[in-house]
Amino acid sequence: MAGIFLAVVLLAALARRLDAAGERALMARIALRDKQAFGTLYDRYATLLFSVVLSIVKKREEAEDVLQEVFLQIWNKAPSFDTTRENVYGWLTALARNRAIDRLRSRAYRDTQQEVAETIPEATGLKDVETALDVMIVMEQAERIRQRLQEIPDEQRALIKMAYFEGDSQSQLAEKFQLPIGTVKPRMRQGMKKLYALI
Amino acid sequence: MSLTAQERFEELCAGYVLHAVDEDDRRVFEQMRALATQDMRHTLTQMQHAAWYLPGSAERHEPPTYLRARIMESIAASRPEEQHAGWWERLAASLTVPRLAIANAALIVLVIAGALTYSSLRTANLSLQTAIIQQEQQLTELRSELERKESLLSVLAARTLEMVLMNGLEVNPGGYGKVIWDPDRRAAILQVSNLPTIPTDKDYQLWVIRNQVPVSAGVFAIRQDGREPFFRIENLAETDRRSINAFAITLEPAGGVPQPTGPMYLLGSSL
Repeated sequence: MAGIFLAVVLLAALARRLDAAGERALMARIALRDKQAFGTLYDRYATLLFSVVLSIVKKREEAEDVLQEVFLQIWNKAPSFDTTRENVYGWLTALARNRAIDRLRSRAYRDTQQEVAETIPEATGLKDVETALDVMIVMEQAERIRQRLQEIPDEQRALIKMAYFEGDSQSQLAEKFQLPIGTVKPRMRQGMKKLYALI
Repeated sequence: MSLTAQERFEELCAGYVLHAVDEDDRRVFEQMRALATQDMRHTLTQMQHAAWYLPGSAERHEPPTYLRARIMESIAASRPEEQHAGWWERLAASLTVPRLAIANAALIVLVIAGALTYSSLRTANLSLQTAIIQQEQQLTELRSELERKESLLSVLAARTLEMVLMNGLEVNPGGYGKVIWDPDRRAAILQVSNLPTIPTDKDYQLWVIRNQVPVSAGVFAIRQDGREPFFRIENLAETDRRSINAFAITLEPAGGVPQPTGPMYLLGSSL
């Protein structure tokens, strides 16, 4: 009996330690179906993800539905989250963006009965970023990021924002802006270089 | 106006990190990424970094408070897998009251023991985290290197290969190199040896001499990072092998120039 309680106490102590061990540990706990950890993750990310989703779908009620889908997906997919290769911040923001863009496209499909793309792959392509960027840093600097983005020339900023928040490809952007793709690409490149320099 | 390899990489990279490249461009970018120079890898890191801040540019909106409860209810209702969390709580709840009384006494003893071991666990935990981070970094570098080498080997596996040897000139007589290409698949490798390392404001530039006219085939650098001197040549794919007279490597300002201006380090004839 004492052995069982020793195990119980040690596991509880370890669980508390994991609380402080960062977001990867948080994901590991969620993978073990720890609802408290899930609540912590929600408290940490809900505002950022809701803001991203609302920026994409524009309608508040729809954004609430999408956010709920995103967090349900996080809960269901946490066991397959690879803590050795992926970054929690990158994974969650990509998940929210992709889900919102899916919703946007399915709405466009309903409205126009046009063909829309399948679900965007979840791979972010960003997993090898070594910067220890996390939600707290981004939230603290959100206002600064918005200001810096305003310093980028309009024609470059519009392309970056439409690519990120509307999921448009470079060829779609060329069509929307009635520009040659040979103009879209260098503008996007210059804009991203400026954004990095400003941030 | 033709772009340098670095400029081409930057254009593709900007679209890639924004998930905005079309399929063909994505494939080209991933090929370039596998053989990226140090400057290209630096560009990728910078642009990924910039893209990571974009979610923060969304206007801030708080989700309604009831949404949290709704979501917590929905995960409680979902049963994707066996519920593992809280198994110790369920175990404890299954115990009878007398057992709990004994257990409480044991718990006090164990809490004291736990406090004593806490600091050592914490130290061990931090050490393990540091070790994991270091190993992750090594793993990322090794994966990148493996992809690069697999891409190089795929060229060497071709049924027919063309090769031109290049020799060092007066400025660096000990240097040598070779260009190996697969004309069918339009892929090529440049290998150089004994070229001196160069500062960041300089690049080596490879020239294809076609019909006696030098055409840039891209730039590369030998820095002091111990990287093997193998490089993928992209522009060669568009040339007709029969019209190539020679290959040459010159030292130029970083990013390359439209026509050679600097000293020639290697030269090799294809005939």
